[in-house]
Amino acid sequence: MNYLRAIILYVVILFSLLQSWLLVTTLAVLVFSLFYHTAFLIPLAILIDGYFGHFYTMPVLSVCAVVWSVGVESMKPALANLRNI
Amino acid sequence: MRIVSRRTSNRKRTLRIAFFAVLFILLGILLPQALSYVAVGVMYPVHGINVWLKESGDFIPTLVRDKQALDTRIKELENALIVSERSSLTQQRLIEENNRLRQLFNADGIERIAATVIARPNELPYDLLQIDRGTDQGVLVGAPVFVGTDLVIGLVVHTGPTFAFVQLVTSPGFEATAFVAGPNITATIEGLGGGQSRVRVPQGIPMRVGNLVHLPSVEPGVFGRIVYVENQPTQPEQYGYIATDVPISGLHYVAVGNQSQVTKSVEVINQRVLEQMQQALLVDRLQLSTTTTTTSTSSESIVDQVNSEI
Repeated sequence: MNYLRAIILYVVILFSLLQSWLLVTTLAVLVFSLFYHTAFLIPLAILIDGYFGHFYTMPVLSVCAVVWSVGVESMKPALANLRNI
Repeated sequence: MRIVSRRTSNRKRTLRIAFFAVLFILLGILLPQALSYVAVGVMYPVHGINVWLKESGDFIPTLVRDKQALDTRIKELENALIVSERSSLTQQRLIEENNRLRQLFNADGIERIAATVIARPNELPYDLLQIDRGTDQGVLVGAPVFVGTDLVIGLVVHTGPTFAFVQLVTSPGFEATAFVAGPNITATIEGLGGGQSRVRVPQGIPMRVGNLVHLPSVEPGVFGRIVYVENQPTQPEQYGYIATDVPISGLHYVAVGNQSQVTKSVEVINQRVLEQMQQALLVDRLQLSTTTTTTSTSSESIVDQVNSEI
C-alpha cells in the first residue's frame, strides 16, 4: 500500500508537471516529501529537464529538486522532534 | 568508542545523494557542449576537404569534378543511345510500313524540283526567298517549298522563266489550317514576320513545347515545333509560337513541289456557285400571264415590273 501510494504520487507529479498544473504539482511534491525520501524526486526532475531540452541552457527543475531534497531532508529530523514534543 | 548517530548518517547520505545529483546535472550540461567540441574537432578536416573538393578552383578538385561530370554525362549518353537505337528501329519500321501503304494507294508519284537559294533576307525583304528555278523547269505559283523531305517552309508566289520567289509561312498575313500533334487539334497558323508564326488554340488544350505542327494541305507538310507557349489564364486563347528547325540564313538547297497548293477563297467559290446556279436554273422564254379578272390592272403592273427586272 505504501509503495502504491508512492508510485501514484510520483506519476501525479510527472503528469501534472508535463501538463503545467503547478498547483497540483506543488501539493503532490509536498505530500511526497512528507512521507518519502525526496531524493527520488531528483531523477524525475532530471528526466523532465532532459525531455524539455533544458540541459542546453540551465536545468532549473533539477537544481531546484536537489536544493529541495537537501533542504527537506535537513529539516525532517527537526520536524520529527517537533512531532515528539 | 566512537558513536555515529542516525541523524548524522542520514545527513551524510543526503549530502552524498545531492553531490552525485549535482555532478550528474553538471555532466548533463557539459556533455553536449563537450561532444560538440569533439565533433567539430574531428569533422572539421573532413568538412574542409569536402568543401575543397566540391568548390575549389584548384587543379585537383577541378579534375575530380570534371571526371565525375564526365562519368555522369557518359551514362546519360549511353542511355540516350539505347533509346535512340530503339527509336530508329521503330522509325525504320514505320517508314517501311508507310512506303508499303503508299504503294498500295499509288501515292508515290510526287516529284520535286531541286533548287538553290540565290537570294534571302538581308538582300530581299524578310520572309522571302529567291530560287534559281522557274517556269522553264516547271515551277508553279503556289507550289510548296521544302527543306529536306518533310519540312515545308513556304509557297512559291511568283515565277519567272529561270527564277521564282518563295514566300515563307512566317510572312505577316499568311494564314493556313495547321494540325498540332500532341493535343491533336486543328488550328489556324498565322505568320507574324521575322521568322515567327503562331497557332492559337482555346484555353485548356494541353499544348506543350515540342509539339509538331503540320500543314495538312501540303503533303507531307511538317512545318515546325512549338518552341514557346504563351498561356495567360485570363485570356480565352493560348498561343503556341513556332520556329523552323532550320535557320533561313542557313538555307542553300530547297525542294519545290510540282503541285500548286493555291486554292480559291470561300468568296470566290460562292460567287462561282452562284453564277452556275443562275445559268443552270434560269428558264428561258418564261412568260407570266394574268389569271384573274378582278385585279387585272394591278396584276399587269406586277408582271411588267417582273419582266423589267428580268
